[in-house]
Amino acid sequence: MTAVVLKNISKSFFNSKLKKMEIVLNDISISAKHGEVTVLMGQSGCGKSTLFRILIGDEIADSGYVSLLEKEVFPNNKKNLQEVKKKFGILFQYGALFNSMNVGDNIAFPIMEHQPQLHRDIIDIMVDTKLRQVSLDPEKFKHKMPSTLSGGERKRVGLARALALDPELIFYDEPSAGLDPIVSRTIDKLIKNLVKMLGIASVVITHELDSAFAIADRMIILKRAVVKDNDDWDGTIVYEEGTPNDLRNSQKPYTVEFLGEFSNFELCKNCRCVQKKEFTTCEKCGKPQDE
Amino acid sequence: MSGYFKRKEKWHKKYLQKDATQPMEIKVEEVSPQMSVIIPQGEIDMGSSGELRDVLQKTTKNQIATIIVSLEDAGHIDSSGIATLIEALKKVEAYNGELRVVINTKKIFNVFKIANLDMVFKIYESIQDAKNA
Repeated sequence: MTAVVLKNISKSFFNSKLKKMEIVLNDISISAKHGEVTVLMGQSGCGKSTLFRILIGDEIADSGYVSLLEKEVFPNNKKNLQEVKKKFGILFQYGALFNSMNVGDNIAFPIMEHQPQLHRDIIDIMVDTKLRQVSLDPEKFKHKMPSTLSGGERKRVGLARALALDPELIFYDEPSAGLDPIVSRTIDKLIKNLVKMLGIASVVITHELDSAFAIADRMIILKRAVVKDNDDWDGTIVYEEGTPNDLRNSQKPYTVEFLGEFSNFELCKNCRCVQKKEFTTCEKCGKPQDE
Repeated sequence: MSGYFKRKEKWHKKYLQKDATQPMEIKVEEVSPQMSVIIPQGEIDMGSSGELRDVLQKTTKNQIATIIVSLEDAGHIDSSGIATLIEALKKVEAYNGELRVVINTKKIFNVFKIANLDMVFKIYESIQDAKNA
């Protein structure tokens, strides 16, 4: 079952300095399935965040088609988005907690918003369960204010809030950014467990290659869009999609450069052509790599 | 409870509560004065868990020593359903009773497991096993 379908998405913004429209996303088509972790990666400025905002309905694409949980949300049926929003959770980069509410109320917030018929005692127990799911002790953390939490704790509380309504789909924006390796691995494990045990579809946007390779079932590497009539047009694709293994074995220069040590190939320092890993002399330009 | 939630609850009681709950059939089998089997039919979600809560509250109020909740016909249970069972478990334990849960699908078991509740509840594979335990 496909949880997310994006077809031919394009988006451009007006650059006030250059006084022209700048293309950020150009004809991107991706999908994410239930029971899989789909990781979106790419350099800064390649349009990851724009794509993320289009997915969660915060940004409107110029053209294309978006469907979430088998319901079209763009360009038609925008009302569906309100309905679908109850079924997906979002973990923002810095948790995006309400600073005026304690941890318990932050997690209870989406439940109160969408399911206010539930008894407050039941909501309290749900909050405790969600906190335990993200390895936080409810007795210790429930009454804390967000300002007293560390980065990792904020992120885990954010994840507990994203899980509050038992979503069928979760979007993670940089889930392990700025965290120490231990907490980062805990978050990765949590994401993987949720997918494996509950069949939740997960879309993760990250820069961390370690974490991406640890959790991904499918990976998408985005490249900054360049239009065909532009001088910078190099004829290359704007994204590459595949399993982690496919991408390790990809011979597209951008993917090889982006994955670095995770790729099974390397770029020649002189002519930038793709060569097998640990090559000594470039087959194309004949230059040794030690120089 | 903060002021926001109090206002929200009040507003909801006034306007929404009747529309929000979806009917769910719950069979209650009184095996003996000391044992009851509760069998919810259909999905236990945020719209229907309130009904299960009402039934469990009645049973715990009567201080039935052994309550068996069978999720064999449930199909799906979400965290509000789990929370309802936890609330009942706390009440049952307060009068030294026992709450047994029957789960026969991996899907439902995983919902318990991911919240580390497979160690908290006494879980059985069939109603008969739960009765004999």
